[in-house]
Amino acid sequence: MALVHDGDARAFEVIFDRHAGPAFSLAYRMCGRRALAEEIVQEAFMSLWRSASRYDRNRGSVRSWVLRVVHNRAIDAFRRELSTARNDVADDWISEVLPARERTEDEVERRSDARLVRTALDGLPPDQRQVIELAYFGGFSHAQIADALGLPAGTVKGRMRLALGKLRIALGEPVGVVP
Amino acid sequence: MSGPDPTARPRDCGNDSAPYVLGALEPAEARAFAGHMQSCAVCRDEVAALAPVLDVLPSCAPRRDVSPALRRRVIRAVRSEPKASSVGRRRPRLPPWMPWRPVVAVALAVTLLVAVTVGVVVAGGSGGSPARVIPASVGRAQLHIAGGHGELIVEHLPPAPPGRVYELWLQRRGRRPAPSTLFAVTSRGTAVLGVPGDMTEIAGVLVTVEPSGGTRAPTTRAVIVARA
Repeated sequence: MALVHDGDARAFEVIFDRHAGPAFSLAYRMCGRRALAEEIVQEAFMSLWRSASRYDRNRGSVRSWVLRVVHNRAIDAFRRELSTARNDVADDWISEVLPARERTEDEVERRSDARLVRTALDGLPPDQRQVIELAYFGGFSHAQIADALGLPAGTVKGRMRLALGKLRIALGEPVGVVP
Repeated sequence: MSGPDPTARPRDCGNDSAPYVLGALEPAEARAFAGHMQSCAVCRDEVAALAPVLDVLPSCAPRRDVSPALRRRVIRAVRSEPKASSVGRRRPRLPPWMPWRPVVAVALAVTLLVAVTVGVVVAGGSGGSPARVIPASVGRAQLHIAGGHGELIVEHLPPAPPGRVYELWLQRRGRRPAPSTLFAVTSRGTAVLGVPGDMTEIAGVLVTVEPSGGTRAPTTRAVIVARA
């Protein structure tokens, strides 16, 4: 990332090739249209190119940062299309500056975690999985979800809490968030 | 008398932690919860415990391949857009007989009006670059314009008051400011947002603090004013 910050386009290509696949997969999952997903990914990577100096290596990986930017861009796109005011989640600036060996180990761990969470997400009760997908992949607020499903806001929040708690437990570090 | 118990929960705040992590609270709720966490160790710990799920949740999306055309477009755009940071480093190497060149470059890019000057970032474009960087005010704010698209980057901006939200306005020549988008800042005072709409005819941008949901015309004095 230091090279990207210095304006090294070849280093940027490496970053793009490493992270564009998951970024596009997320964008497509959120918007369901290839053209819009490509626009979102392009905007996200241009943002990375322009703002690489804002990395804070203590806040996580480039993968996490890129995906968060994509997520926020997709929500912005929803808002543009639907003319709906919505919470604008600012990007969280994170960095990777790990030696290659550590990065590889990190990637293996990430893939393992992803498999665990995918399995856990599939295993959630449908009502809990639904609120997670609407909130994260759909970009809806809890109030919008409650309206759409005809549920009290507290019920939607409670399902989100239960679901996230179970997903967190699936990552292998149970925490006391599930009553 | 002892101090306040950091584990005490004055209300049923636990239900807000998951929607907060998911970004599913309304802006005013998110700000209130962020403020609440400063005094509630239980909620703070719960948010910290749930946050790692967000790092792997995107991987639940079915895998899709990136088209070669997208890769070409992005790489081409990057190669045609010199970075502001590298442009800045080149400035000291300008020949002494051209001291006016950076001034002209910045002047071509922006003329800035500062509403509340706390710190100004000067990161002007270079001649021939399709990108413009408009430095603004209040903490640090920059508007990047490239290829007709804009992106606003804000740092060190205080949270909008409860029940209020930041609203971005676009101003075109001879017209009143048009509402663009609403945004909140993180607990660290940062925000990065794409500016919807065509930026090629943009004459300036404003940011005001407005009631949640936004307004159709500015009702408060701008905290950020930048004129191109």
